[in-house]
Amino acid sequence: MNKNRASRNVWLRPARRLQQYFEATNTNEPLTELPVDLWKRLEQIPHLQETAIAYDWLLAANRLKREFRSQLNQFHDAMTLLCDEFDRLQPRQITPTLRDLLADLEALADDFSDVKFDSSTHVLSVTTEPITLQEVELGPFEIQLHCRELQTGQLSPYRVVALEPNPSSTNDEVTHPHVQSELLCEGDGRQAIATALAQGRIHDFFVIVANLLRTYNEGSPYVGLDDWFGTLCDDCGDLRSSDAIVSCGQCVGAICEDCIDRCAGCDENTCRGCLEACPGCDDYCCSGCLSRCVDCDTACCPSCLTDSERCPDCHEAQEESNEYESFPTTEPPNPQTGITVQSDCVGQTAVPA
Amino acid sequence: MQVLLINNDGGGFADYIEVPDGASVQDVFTEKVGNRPASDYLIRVNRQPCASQQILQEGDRISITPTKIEGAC
Ligand SMILES: [Zn+2]
Ligand SMILES: [Zn+2]
Ligand SMILES: [Zn+2]
Ligand SMILES: [Zn+2]
Ligand SMILES: [Zn+2]
Repeated sequence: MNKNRASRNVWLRPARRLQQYFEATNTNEPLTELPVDLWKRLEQIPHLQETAIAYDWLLAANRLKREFRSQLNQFHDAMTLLCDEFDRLQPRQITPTLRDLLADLEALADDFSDVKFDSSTHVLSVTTEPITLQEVELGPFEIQLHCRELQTGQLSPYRVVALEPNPSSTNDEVTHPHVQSELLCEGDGRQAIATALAQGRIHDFFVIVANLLRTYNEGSPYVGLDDWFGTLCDDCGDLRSSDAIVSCGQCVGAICEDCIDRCAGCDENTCRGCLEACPGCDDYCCSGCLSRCVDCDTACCPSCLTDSERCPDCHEAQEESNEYESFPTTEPPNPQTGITVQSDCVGQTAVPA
Repeated sequence: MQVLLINNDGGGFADYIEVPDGASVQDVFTEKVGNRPASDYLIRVNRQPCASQQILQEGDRISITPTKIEGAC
């Protein structure tokens, strides 16, 4: 017995099962409803027109004639739409024969390492080689076609299961940039996959899905490969995806969105470590927005630092000392008594007893 | 003569097409896919790997599948 005959025997039973599924999906699809109302109106118009002519209502007869033409157009459009819809729902110009399915299964066995049909779950599966994209090792994937779901008309009757998962650090449901929770984001392959499944071309289906898994589209992944291992927040140490990480405007540290703060002065994203409280108003500002008081060297926010470049405390002290200077502690000696009079309070002078 | 062409690029076209006797795999590829490099596609005749100069026979099944298909979420 040659190899071909032997492998045929192995695949004959699964091929028969598959054929039943594809035949069933073929007949189960409901047919679209016809534009009956449009047709009814088209039937009415000639009778109405006859009546109009009989009564010599020529304007009405003319209007009905025009309406007939426009209804014909609408009917034509509706029929074209129905044809399109029919073809879209049933793109199966080719129904798979037992021979087709058998040949597909044999070709799958040539192309993939592990082709299995589980007769209890009715799942046909193939295993890809270990897939590595941009040096990220994602391991082999099992592509499972759930044949029962073919019948229920489910949009994606298949799963993509990572056999040695190396999920992204930020979401362990994402086992491949284009696979989340075992569902493949088909992108450019969407229509080709749908058509292959609708036509029962299972070899094409598995090859398309495998080629999708071997390709990385950096424009639209669930998690990008450059972000696969996540980014550590410099503040709390959590692993986050890059879109949840903000760069501190001061120290350029990678800070997660929960830890990032804003400078009250310039509103820039800043980590807490790079913010300092202004002693005047308790607002937190970045070093760029804080200025040093010329007297005590305390960092102050722009709104609290005075024109004389002093912090509120030093400003107050300065004011007080200015007042003090304008009311000198000693007055010139009284020329009559020769006694120095001590100034006590403003506007009052203590006279010695 | 008629061959079955399956083009898994884009929409996933599959239909019988008329080709001249003696047409090669390359001829059909060039006509249907254009000037894109054949190395970007997995081309099979009757599901088997084939040479680009292979001459097609009546009823052959040619499938053209891009090797790089971009997923998108
Ligand atoms: Zn954090
Ligand atoms: Zn910082
Ligand atoms: Zn600032
Ligand atoms: Zn302040
Ligand atoms: Zn000060």
